Amino acid sequence: MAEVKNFKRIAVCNRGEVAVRIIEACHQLGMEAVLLHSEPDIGTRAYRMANDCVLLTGDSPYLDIKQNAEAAKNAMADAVHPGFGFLSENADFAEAVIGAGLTFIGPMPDSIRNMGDKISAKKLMEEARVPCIPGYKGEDQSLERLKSEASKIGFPVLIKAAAGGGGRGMKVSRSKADFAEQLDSAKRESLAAFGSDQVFLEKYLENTKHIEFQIFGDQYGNYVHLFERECSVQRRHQKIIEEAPSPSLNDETRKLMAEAAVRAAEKVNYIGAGTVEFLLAGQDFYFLEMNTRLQVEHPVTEYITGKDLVQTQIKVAMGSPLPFLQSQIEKNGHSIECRLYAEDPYKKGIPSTGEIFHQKFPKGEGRRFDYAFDPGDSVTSFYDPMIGKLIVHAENRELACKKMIQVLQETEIFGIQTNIDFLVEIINHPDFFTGVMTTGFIEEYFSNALGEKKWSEEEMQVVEQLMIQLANQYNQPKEKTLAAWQNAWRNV
Amino acid sequence: MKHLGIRLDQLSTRIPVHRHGSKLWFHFKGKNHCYEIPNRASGDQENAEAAKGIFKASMPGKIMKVFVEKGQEIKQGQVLMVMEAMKMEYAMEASFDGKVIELNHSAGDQVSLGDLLVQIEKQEG
Repeated sequence: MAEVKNFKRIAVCNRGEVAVRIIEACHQLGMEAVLLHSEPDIGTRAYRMANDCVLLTGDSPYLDIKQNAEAAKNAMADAVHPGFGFLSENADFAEAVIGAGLTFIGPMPDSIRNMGDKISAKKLMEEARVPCIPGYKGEDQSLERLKSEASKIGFPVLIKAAAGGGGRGMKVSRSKADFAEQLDSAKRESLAAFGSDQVFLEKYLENTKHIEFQIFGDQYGNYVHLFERECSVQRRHQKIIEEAPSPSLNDETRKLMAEAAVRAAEKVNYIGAGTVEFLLAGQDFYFLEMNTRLQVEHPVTEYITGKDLVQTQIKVAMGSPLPFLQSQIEKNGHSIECRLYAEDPYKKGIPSTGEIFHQKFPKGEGRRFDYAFDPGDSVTSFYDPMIGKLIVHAENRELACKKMIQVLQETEIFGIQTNIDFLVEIINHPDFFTGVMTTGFIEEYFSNALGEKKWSEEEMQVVEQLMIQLANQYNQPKEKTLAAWQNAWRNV
Repeated sequence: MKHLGIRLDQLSTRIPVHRHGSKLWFHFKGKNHCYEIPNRASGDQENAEAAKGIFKASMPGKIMKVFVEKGQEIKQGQVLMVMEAMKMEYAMEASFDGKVIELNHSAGDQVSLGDLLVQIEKQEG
């Protein structure tokens, strides 16, 4: 049995709300957190909450393997938590951390490498009997062979240019009858665009949903799953709203998918928290990829299972066995997470930067707010526009939707534009409310986000009343805010 | 950030408000709003309208002085009227030679946001 180490100090190699989340978990476990941060991130919550901070230098400090590993070592940390994004799925970084004599809070570098490569991941998953999207990538390009492979895969079939990309040379054949015609067309396009008419075949999945399973492994060969999350509401592969459990799985499918996810974890001797992503079409599911790290949307799993995933990551990395058995993991109620982005939904979602003057989250039971900035901090254009997450938990999905709408409508943020109004529209959309939304949902209904902002008559009345009151207040010389205005406005 | 009272037909309430530069932030009926207060330097739409000879109140305020009468001929650059809003004087200057075709207010009048104040028309020929 491996020795259990006792961490006293953890280096957080990340920023924003996830850095806050990890620092809180460290403190709850009686450990210190050292934040390795960039210059623009000095004015953030994580910077103020960490026990110590180390300034990283260079153009992309959060991607600098050598600098992060060395800084963590010099800061006397016992372990490194990479969060998500940045270096979290970088096997070289995991090796550098281990090489520096520290523990990497995540899977072994080989697991990261194997699952990071799409081809090796698919091969391993097929060996573990995890369903993958069926396809044909053979050398034999004769019509007879391709047609018989297409029948084997099952129509509709996607014909893709082997050298392709960007949708060119891509055709859908719906039946054996139109196969030759679609194949010819795909080959012609492919030849013109890429100089090669070689094609791949793949099962064409329509109206798919994104379903992922949270798994956990330890050093003693124990593997568990913590049920699924549905993340079908995406824009350009960026998730916007996630929930657990999925409204689309029946119990039988849920069981089959959970078993497949655990087999996937076993196959790569997975240690720590991981996520196995699937596409769901009807009740058929297909392996998409495995994320060898904590997910942005982990709070919905924490809400329905009552397990703290970040604390568990740290315990497992210390060498402790998993603190829960599969039989001790149950799901309760429904949880929804909305990602809060600093962007203007009335201007096609362009990022919004600047100082946050005022921010108020409507705290309460079954409401959780993971956020990166406090009032007075500035959102810069250096990083991802996600500034936080709003998470709710309720008895069932309908109540969770209603609770989320209430939370969104009660959240006050001045200084930057956010996607809050957009999130409200999404949750109120019949397809979301009934749970039938697919990964094409945003493109279909909100390709332009919310369109241009229109002021209602009532809102303009409010503006007018506010302007009159503010004007009267500027008249009083003792008003604290007057000084700045005296320069810009001439008193008469 | 402060709270200010507002009164609408069916509703009387206090809402959080913050003014920064030309931006007026407030939270009303479940939405965060950012109203861009028009001014002479940045009010593109306003400048476009002024170029066409249409002058509207860009803020609620009070008419201070009126220098012209309806039907009067005016020269480019001539000051037509002055209004006061947010303790700032706002002079409306003719953007071309022409004639006053609309004049709805006199000195001392309170005006609302968007009210048409004065309109001029290019002189033919």
